Amino acid sequence: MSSYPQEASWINLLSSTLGFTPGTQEWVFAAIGLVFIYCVIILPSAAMMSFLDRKLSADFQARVGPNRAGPAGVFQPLADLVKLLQKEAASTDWNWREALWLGVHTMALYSTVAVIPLGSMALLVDTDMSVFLPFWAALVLALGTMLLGFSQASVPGWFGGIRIAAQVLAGAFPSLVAVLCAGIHSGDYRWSAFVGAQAAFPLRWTAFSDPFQFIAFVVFVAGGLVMLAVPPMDAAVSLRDLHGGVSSHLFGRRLSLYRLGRFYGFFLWSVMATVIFLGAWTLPFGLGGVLRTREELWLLQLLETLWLLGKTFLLMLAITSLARVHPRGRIDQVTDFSWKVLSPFSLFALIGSALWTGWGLLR
Amino acid sequence: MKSGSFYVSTVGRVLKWARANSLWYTSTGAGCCADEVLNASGNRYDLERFGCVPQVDAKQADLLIITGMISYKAAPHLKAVYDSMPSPKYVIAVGACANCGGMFAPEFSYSAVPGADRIIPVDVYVPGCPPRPESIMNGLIALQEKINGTGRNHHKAQ
Amino acid sequence: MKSSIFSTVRAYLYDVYLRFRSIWGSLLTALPYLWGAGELRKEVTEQYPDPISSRTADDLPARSRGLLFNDIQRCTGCKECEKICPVQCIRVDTEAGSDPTKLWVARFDIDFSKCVFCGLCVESCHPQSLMHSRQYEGAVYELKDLVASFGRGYVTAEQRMKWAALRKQAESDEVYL
Repeated sequence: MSSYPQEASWINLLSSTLGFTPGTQEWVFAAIGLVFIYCVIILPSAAMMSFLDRKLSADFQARVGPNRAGPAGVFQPLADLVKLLQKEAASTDWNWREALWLGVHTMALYSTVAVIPLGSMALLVDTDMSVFLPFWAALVLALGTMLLGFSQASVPGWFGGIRIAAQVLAGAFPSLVAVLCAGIHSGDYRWSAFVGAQAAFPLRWTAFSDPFQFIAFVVFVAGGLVMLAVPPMDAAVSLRDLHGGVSSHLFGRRLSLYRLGRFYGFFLWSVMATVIFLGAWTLPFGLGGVLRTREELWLLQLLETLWLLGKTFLLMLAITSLARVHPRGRIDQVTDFSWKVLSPFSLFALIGSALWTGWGLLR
Repeated sequence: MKSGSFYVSTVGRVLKWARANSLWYTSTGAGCCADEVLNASGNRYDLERFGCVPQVDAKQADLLIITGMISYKAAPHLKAVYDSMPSPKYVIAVGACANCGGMFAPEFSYSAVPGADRIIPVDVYVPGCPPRPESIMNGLIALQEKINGTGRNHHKAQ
Repeated sequence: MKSSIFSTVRAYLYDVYLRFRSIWGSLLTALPYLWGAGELRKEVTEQYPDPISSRTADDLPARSRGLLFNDIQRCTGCKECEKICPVQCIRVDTEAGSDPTKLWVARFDIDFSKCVFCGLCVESCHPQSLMHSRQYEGAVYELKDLVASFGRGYVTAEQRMKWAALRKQAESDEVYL
């Protein structure tokens, strides 16, 4: 078993605060950490982003959007969730295949919570391979989602399943190569190495350090959208074309689980893009160093997480507004875009950033 | 305070509020009332203000908006759509045809079902031929009041 | 045109450029809406139950056909509306009243669940007692609540006999006059 970094990790802070003895099993901490991250970060951001998404699309269509549930409609996501949890099946049959593959789909997504980087001390696992876990999970995700579609026993489910498998495979390759580009720039694949290669000033971010890294950034984000079927690239699961594809017959609790999982994929990808390319959690004005020397570790961790999440939400909002103004591509256009545009550009960026970095090292 | 009263009073009210404010609808459009429902979900009369999102699949919908005449041939399919919706589910009948057959009532036509309530239970009836979008939204608010238990007492057409 | 590797690559790059330009163009079109400066500059949504933003009551056309209203004081009980109604949603029952020249409109029911708001009854109403109001909302929970009753109500047998006597009295008065 690998051990956690010994420097004041948030896990150690948490365990000392909660009064655990040092002999407590590591998996207990991991489980507490996962539940904590899910409840405190993922669920509220899902609610916020779904509300902002609906308001944004309403604005683009010169509408008002939800405004009757709570003040200005801010409780609309809560109402949706509580309503979905109350739904009961009309018939008594229980589709165990659907439950099984929805479980695989959801676990493949949430297995990546283990490596999600949320601050210098909130790194649950910081190995040189942790950045690749989402790609490994994507293969399980493709399988689980495809079979989830098949288990619906309907035409939209079948086609959605096949299409989403094609999309995941098409999107995984260019974004993987884009991560390699960033790794060449930073010299290592640890989260801490990605962070260390950047500074708070935007021109010192990886994405803007050289033209090839910028191409890699765009390819990483677009490839992730294709891989996780996020709105501008959601041809495989779009409601209007395919009745929701693999989710066409999910309802109630299963639908809320599925939608939250979809949101989590988008969120994870935006966090990764922010950490790898957009300056991560490095606080501006040297605030991080000041807090670290004063040993205000909780405050430092809090500010870093907030700073990172702020940048992440801005990126997600930009992508969402793009999705709301741009017509959705067909499945063949999406996979074409991924294989014929993103992949060549990612390889181009790989060669370019290798030469650029090599030239910088030689000089 | 009795043990069950907290659930009934507070939790129950929150659950009802959630159901009333998140009525995702699916529509069986078969006439000019369907155009009015589309109009109501457009940007002049924005149905999404009430949390109503159009759903393509009846399994993900809470509210069935019946618009237009129901022929005897279509009646079993309407029943199937209603049956496939998971409960709690609600039905609004919009327009004269869905209320009682309207112009296609059995006095005039051999093939029309005289009203949606012959097939499935209807919660709110909206009169009009076709009703204005405001009228449909009035029906929606009436349904929300019914779910919340603050229903209007026999609002009579004058 | 002779195709070479360079022209192929150039066409490919131009294609990619066009894709990104189209995305940029749609963003430029839509982004002004975020601060209310799009082509639809004013707030177009009518927030229905709110009387300030909902301008429909003022915008209704002068001859708009809302729910029907019958002024029973002027209604003669001629049943023209009942005869002309294409969906038979009006039901009128009359009986002889105390005045031999007038009918007692015991029942005047309009079934708004059937009514198609065609306006034929209003056009055919000679005393102009039947008219369209400007109200259009009428959602109810029970179908029977959609029946609007304007009639004066059925009378008892006793009352009927009293009226018959009154009529006879009036007729005999007329003879002597």
